[in-house]
Amino acid sequence: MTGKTENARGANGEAKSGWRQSMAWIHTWLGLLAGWILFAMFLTGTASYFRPEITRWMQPEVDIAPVSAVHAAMTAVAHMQKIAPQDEQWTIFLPDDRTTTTRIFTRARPDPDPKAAKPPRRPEIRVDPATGDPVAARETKGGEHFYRFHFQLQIPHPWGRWLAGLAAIFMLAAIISGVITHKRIFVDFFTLRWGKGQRSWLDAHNVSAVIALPFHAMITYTGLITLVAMYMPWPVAANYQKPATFADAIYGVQDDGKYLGRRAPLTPIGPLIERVSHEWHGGRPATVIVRNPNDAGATIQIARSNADTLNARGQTILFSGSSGRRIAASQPPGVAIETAGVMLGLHMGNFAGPLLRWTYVLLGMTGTAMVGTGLLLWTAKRRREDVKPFFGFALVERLNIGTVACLPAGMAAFLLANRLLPADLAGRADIEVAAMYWTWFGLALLSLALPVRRAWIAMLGLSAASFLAIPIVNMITTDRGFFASIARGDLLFASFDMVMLSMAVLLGFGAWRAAQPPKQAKRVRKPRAAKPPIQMPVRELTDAA
Amino acid sequence: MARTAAKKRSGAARMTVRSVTALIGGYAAAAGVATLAARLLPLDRAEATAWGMILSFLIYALFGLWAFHERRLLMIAPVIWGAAVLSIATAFALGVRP
Repeated sequence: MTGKTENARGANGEAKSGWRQSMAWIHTWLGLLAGWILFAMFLTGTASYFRPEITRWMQPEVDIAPVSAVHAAMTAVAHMQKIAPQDEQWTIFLPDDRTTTTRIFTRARPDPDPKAAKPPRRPEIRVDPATGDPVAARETKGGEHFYRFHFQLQIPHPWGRWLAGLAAIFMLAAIISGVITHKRIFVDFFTLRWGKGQRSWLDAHNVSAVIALPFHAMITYTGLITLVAMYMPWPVAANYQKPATFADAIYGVQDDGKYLGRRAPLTPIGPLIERVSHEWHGGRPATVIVRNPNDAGATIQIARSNADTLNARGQTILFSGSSGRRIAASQPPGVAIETAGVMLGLHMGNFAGPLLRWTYVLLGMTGTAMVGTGLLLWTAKRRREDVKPFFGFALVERLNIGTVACLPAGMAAFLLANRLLPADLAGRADIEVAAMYWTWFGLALLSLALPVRRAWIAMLGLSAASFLAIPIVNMITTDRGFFASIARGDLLFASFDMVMLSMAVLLGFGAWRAAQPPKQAKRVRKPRAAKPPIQMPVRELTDAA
Repeated sequence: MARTAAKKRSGAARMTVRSVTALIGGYAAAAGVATLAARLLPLDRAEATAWGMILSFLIYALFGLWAFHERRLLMIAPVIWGAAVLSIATAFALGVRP
């Protein structure tokens, strides 16, 4: 914020050093550098609060009635016995109110020869909990795609996660510096002046930031905590010879199961599920991990659902897989481990019921708006009608269009591709994902051909049209259109259509605002004397002087 | 004109040093301090480790912000890099918690 920095200079031109001035400056630059990534992380992260719902929408042919956890676990294990009895580990996610299918990940036993290539990761298996048969549905990444993009950014491991972490720490520093910058935080809360150019963008940025400030701070910090083991592994190294020991301490139960190489039939899973439900006084088992199935050293870990607890790391009970003997149960964690677990839980929001979940989504949208308005404020502050824009200004403006106006169209394209591609097309899941990036980056490139204002209008308009198209295409390509969903009381599909319509209205409103002739804002401050439009190193210059 | 250009160049160089100090030095210092805390806190091993990890990002953010608040580069660079070297060296000297 060059303005603030300038104001800080006294009559003799000496820069005063104060926390507010320096924090305003750093807030501007941190926010700008990380803004585009943060916008994408906020938007896709917000969508991820509906991860299972998006997956269900993207497989409209799946219509599964709920069954008991015992039954689901039995059919899942029976299926795995059929297809991969010798694997090293099965991880089975039992269905619940939100996810109707059983999801299974399996890991092949690694070749004992250390030089052998690692076996490739197997794709997720989805089975019908009633029968244990693989779900016959179109292949799709579903809500998992937005979720993964939210913290991996579709960049190869581990760089995507590092970049997301960098953006998050910038965000954290931007929040702290932003709070210090705003001395009038409660006044800002009630101030929103429309149609006043730069002042309006500042108001919008303040309102969206302040209204949900605790949420923004919480979601940023807890987001860093989700990947703390990768970002900050050093405290573990100082206290443990083997990092795995710390992991055991976190999960509260140590699985010492070793592969013995002696065959032994796997104990029936049904009684174990009944037993843990009883021990948890009705708490729902969510995850079943079978290590070394059909071996004498087999173990079965059953973890409790975190849908009813704030701590994302629920209780776990460990059984012998050959005898069914209860080996151990997780101990209640200490304060710090519990804190970390609650932080995880707060970030992912699995504990949230429908009302709280929608609140999460609205707050996430506020975060998206905060980042978006902050990006626009940067350009609004530096726009001069009389001077040819300098390169950095043009770059920021074009990146703003490419992110704020074009990413929504990309996300809509992902959903549209799901409906428009033939259901049995080979490799369609990857084509859906590709559709998002081709649309997003394609439109961003295309927007370069238009003058700035026309580009905003066109891209926001296209994004709005893409979202508007989703309910229509859904109605044409499936028998689960809006009216059919209402008629059969299918709240999920009906709400999905309504959310798509709301997105279209929101983006359409943006396009309409962008199309209004720019009003000459009455400057609150006296116009400044002509000076170079960018003053980034001004503090450094006074330093150097 | 030439003097302004030279000033600008020197300003850019100083800004680069400042940014690297904040970004990399700040991370190293935060990692060192968090690790040392995890190693020395008189708590259960797992608890001390978790506190170190949880607080590390706050320490990082504060180091980073201070690196841009304090105007004297000759102040921030020695303090941040010094804290990093000192804390990491101490953590190595102490070794893994017995």
